[in-house]
Amino acid sequence: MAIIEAYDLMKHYDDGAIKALDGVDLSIEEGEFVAIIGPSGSGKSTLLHMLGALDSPTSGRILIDGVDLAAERDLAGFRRRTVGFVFQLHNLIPTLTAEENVEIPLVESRLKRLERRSRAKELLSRVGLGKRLDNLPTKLSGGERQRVAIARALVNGPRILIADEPTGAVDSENSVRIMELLKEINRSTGMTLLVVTHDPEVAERADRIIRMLDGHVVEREAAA
Amino acid sequence: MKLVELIPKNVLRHKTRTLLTLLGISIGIATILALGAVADGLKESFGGMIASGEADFIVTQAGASDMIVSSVDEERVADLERVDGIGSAHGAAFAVTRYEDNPYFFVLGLTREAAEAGGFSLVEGRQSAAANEALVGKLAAEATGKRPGDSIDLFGESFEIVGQFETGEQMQDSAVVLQTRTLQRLNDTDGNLTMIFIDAEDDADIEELTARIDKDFEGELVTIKNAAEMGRVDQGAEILDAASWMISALAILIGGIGVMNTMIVSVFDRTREIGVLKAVGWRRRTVMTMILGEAVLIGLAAIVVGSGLAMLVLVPLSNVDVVKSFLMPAYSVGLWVRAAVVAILVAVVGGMYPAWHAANLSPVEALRYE
Repeated sequence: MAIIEAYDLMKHYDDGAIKALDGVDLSIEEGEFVAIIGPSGSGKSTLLHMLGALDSPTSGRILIDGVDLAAERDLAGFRRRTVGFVFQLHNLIPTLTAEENVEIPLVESRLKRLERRSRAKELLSRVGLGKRLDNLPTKLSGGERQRVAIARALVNGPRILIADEPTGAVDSENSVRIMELLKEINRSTGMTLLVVTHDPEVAERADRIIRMLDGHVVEREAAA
Repeated sequence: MKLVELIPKNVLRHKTRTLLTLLGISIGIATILALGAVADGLKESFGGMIASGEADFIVTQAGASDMIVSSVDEERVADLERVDGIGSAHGAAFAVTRYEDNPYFFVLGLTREAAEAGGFSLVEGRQSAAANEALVGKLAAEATGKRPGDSIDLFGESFEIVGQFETGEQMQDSAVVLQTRTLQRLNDTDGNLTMIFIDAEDDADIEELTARIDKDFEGELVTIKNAAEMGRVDQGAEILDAASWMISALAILIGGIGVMNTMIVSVFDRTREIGVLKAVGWRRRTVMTMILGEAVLIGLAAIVVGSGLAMLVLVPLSNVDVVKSFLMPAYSVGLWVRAAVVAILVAVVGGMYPAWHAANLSPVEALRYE
């Protein structure tokens, strides 16, 4: 069944002078890996923000797992329970170790210290950083930092993982590793994966590609 | 990682910035503590006159700007003794003279009865019996090196020390006691006293009695029951007290602006990071608590550092001989509470807007912030 449904989504800025989204309809199945591609300014990041409940549309409806986001009063709680985010820049807290950074979303939870630790450790091992728990971000490479950010996105056990240009700031070798990691998580957990990217090689790994232009979805294609 | 662990880490991220803000508030806190302790100490040094003796309260000149210049007609002693409820009244004169290199050496003029009512108990020698005899307080003896059997030159005349007393109060113990008449003559204050010790009858209602005296002698005399009431005559302590309050208000204002500035810069620096925190599901309240917590932590540190700074000023000050004789800074719980409240208010006032701003950042705009 569809975990994400969007109907006639509009996002206008400056009283409608800028139409970042101009009537987007889409449906994404649970467990699907979808890549959203398109040139800069085509509205792909805006769409991602709407679907991740980071921003609200000017008009239109979004249903996540059947819940209408417009009716959801506690959007922070909704994000915490349902969505994990990975951004182009890792935005790790420089004074915290890898493990502590992964624990950051758990500040809102009532988990015991040991449980927090073990979750963070487990996720860091899963992204291949099991031996770098106590490293500060400055001691990690760009690719490693992004993997810490992925572990951070997974720590609350989200059903949807949203990644905005996750490989935009790393070299091609790390880019491949990160995409393999994301795909592996998608395959093994059935977590729905939504990735915005410029990179055709990244998009090719998806089950489906949604191409955007000027705030519209112009093409939906199954990946090769 | 819990919020209480994250807050100190955030505060220590920019050490110089935090340190400078901390120093700013601490100086305010130190000033409040130092002035407050001096003001309270001044009140206590005179107030101690009541505490140390049998007197229930003292009477001085109404409207005198300072205890030292209070002047009461000595005929009032007899007038007061006739007041219903008063058992006995004893006048005391007070003067300040130069003794060697101390320009503020205290001399008290007391009758034997006044000395008893005032709690001047002899620890050595005997009471003075002649106009050229003097008693020396314990601290005065230490400061001058004069003991019973020695002689001391005051107001250009020589006096023989016949006894030493101790009251346990800073100011009295730093004084030399002469006979009232002698001091009046030397000080050109014939017929005038500085204060009158009142010993009420055992069944007298002190509140009612002092109110009655204040009313019957309104404009001429005023009663003082304890150190806290010293402000009724001692303007010096009163002015320091007012200054301490005003500095508290200024500290809140200036310190608050300093904290606000620091926290605003800190929040702007971390805009993208705060965007991430909101994206991963932190509630507004949590973001707000984090930023306010950082400000309050600086405030709490300022209480400690400010207290240290105040001590750095007060301890050497109260060891200066001249100061020692009339002032022992008084550290009351109330004063520390006031300083602590100011420090926390400063933090909250300064942290409120940055915390509100951070809590209400739109996650999307925060993530886009460069």
